[in-house]
Amino acid sequence: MNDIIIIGGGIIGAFIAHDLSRYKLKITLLEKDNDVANETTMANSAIIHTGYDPKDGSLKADLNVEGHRLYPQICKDLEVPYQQIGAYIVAFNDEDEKNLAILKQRAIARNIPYEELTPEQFLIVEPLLNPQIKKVLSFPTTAIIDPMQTCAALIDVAITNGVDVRLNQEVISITDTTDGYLVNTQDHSYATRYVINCAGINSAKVARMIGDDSFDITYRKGEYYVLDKKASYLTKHIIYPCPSKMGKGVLIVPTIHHNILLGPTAFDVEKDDDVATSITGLQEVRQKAQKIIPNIPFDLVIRTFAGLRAKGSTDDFIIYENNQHSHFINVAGIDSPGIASAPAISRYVINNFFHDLQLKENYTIKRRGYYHFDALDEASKARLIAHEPKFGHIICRCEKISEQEIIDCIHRPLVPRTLKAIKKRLRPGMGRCQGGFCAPLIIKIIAKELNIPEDQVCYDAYESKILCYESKGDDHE
Amino acid sequence: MNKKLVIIGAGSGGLCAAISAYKHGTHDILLIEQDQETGGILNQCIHNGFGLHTFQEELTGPAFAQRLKDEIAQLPIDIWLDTCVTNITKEKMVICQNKNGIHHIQAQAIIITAGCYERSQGAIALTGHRPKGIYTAGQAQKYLNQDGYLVGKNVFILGSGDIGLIMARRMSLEGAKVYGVAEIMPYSNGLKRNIVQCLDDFDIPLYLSHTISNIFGKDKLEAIEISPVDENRQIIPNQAKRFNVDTLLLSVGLIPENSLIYQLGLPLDTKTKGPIVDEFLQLLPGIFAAGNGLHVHDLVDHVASEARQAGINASLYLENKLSNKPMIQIIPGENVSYCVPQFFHQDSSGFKLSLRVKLPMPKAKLQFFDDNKLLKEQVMMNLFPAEMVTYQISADVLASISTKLTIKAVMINE
Repeated sequence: MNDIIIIGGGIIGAFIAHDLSRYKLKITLLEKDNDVANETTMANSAIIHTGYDPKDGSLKADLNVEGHRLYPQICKDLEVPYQQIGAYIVAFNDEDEKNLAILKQRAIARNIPYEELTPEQFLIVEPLLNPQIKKVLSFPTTAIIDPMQTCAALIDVAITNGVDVRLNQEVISITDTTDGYLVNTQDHSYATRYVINCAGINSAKVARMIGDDSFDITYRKGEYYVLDKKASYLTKHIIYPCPSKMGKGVLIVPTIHHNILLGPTAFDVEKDDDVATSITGLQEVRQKAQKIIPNIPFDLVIRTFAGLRAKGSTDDFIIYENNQHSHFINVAGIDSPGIASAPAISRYVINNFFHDLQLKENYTIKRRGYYHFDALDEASKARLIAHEPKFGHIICRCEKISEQEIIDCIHRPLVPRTLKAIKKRLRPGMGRCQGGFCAPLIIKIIAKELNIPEDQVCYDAYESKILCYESKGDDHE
Repeated sequence: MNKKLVIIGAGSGGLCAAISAYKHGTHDILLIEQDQETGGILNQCIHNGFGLHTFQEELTGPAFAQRLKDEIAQLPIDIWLDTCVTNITKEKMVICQNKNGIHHIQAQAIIITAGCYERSQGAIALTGHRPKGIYTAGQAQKYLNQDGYLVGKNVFILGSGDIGLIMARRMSLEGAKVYGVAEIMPYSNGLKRNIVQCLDDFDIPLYLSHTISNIFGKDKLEAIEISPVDENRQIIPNQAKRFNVDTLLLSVGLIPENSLIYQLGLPLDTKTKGPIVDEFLQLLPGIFAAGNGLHVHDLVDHVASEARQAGINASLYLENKLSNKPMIQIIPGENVSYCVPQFFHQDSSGFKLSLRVKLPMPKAKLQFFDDNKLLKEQVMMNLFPAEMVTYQISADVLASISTKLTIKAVMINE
């Protein structure tokens, strides 16, 4: 019997699992995919907004401001990257300026640092911005993170503290029992006292499994371009247009790994697996991004992607305990600023729906970060290679990732067993060649470290094997 | 550590450059290779068709590479395998790392023969899903020819580059069904012999002026759609044709591995994506580039001869015998997409020029201009974008150029 079943291994489920793992509770986290951070957490702008955007009185406003405050310490404890690079919101016309004034008022009320910049001021810092921009509202404390790495790190801490994380467990039904619930996946049943539904884009479907249809989730697709690191000269800041009804618009975002992200679009789709990019979507990103920075080197595009965000029917985060089904907690509608609010959402859930929790005698809040060999100074590099020669063997040429970094990443509490799981944590295959050279080598490393045949290594999903058929070879009749 | 000559990359280019430099008097050479063996991409190209120019016989890729490996084994040239060059400086310091540590090697000359990489799904912004089952043709070739695995049995290929054509045949021979090759241009991008031997002989259709318009399957590739494109390479809607395949191979171009050059802070040629060089293949005095790391070649024979020239030039540099006179720019004019080299010295005694034309021309005049003044023209047959044109340009033409050299290719209609 579990005390708590958490449904969903995105950043919300990961934070809740991490935060609850320090208490004397038996917790299981169920993730439908073959890795955590595999849906919305994997495909977003990776920004820790400061909290000026959500409307007054909304849960989003409170939790965003609080989440932003919590992140630096959390990232320090998890040894994951966090960088405060600041954001510019640009106004092209009088209406934009009116909107900026509203944001400014919110910033004042919420005690968020801001600065107003004239073209003379912002063009010195960001000379490639469209000179037609009339005014910039700067939020210097806006930060960026790596949501996939952060999510994996949170899960690792949770597992270390005793949380049972089960991959490839898709919840298909939930039944009431005398003392709680039976959560049924395609091949298992889990008895539990509490259910926390953090199923992201599928959260409305999960709520309906106990007959709760009080909210809807719209799948809002966002398409993005990723530019090579060579384009990092474009901007030091995150650049936003003025926010609109459909969201924050198409942004230009430096990533924590020095790429440039352009996007997202905001287009509601019918199907929960529709993460296809489209000609029209990418065209829209192009046009809107070029309005902000006219000369974008599109020949440096190395990847396009699309993700779905879970747009809730209330326009705010939807976090409540079901009143007919006690101990069933929905954490839904976590669209922007979801990543930024995630640590605060987790605390809100724990403070509001769990009482008299007892701390374990032993638990951790820290984990050792991945090695980032290439970023080290030369003396440290030499020391590491002397200690373990595989640090000297580069596997990913583009991102300069060594064999030992990959081995170290594999032997973590949640073992990344797929090419994509390693890519999401360490970035081999995220450079200009997109894995053309390193993928065959990483397959061999995974096989060796996990002691499985090479042809059992998957790309991402369960059974998505890469080396499908043996070639004819010598033994062929 | 000090070395007279450091060569970065021991594929066909690096091996040829090293052998040639040694033969021309440079004996203190270090050849650095990222992979666990020398030979580069030749090791996975098990088809034949290599070496007709270099060895006057038709060899497979590994056999071609073996000849070079055997030759270099006779010479006292240092080779470091499993070693990645992370940086070079304008002062010719080469910084590299391997399992023995981080190494600083002060060279007197450097040749970069770093090869190239394949354009990926991301780089061409294919639209649709991003499931398992989409590979660059070279990656699938490595899995098949070196690791012994087929990545799928129902295959479509985007791009008619040579690797894609070779893989169409190779996958067919292994029992896969290749449904077709789509090429966005109205003409093929591969060598003619490969179209005949790899597609026609296997009844694999080539869809010219077509591209992938959609990709289906969230986890695993289920199908692709191809659509015709207009003259601006824009997809014509409502004419999509669907193929239920588990594999999509991309053969959509190669890009020189230019990161070391980029780190040096040097500009890249916007067309070749490789470094800008003089007639000695120098990007800076004493730093040379050759092979696919300079510009993408169609034939290893051309890589070999260019790299040999780089080896000779490096030796001449070390003897202080290369010109340091002012330089004149070479401009690709009408119908010429690029020229290598991009500069030459005023006192040049002639050199081999490489160029590509922008469109297929059965018969054309290659014209050489000093600004607007026509200096020389040469009738050439069968010029295709997919086939690099080389031309030995003589000292007398070069001597009469005072501003810059513009090269045009003018179609002759008969």
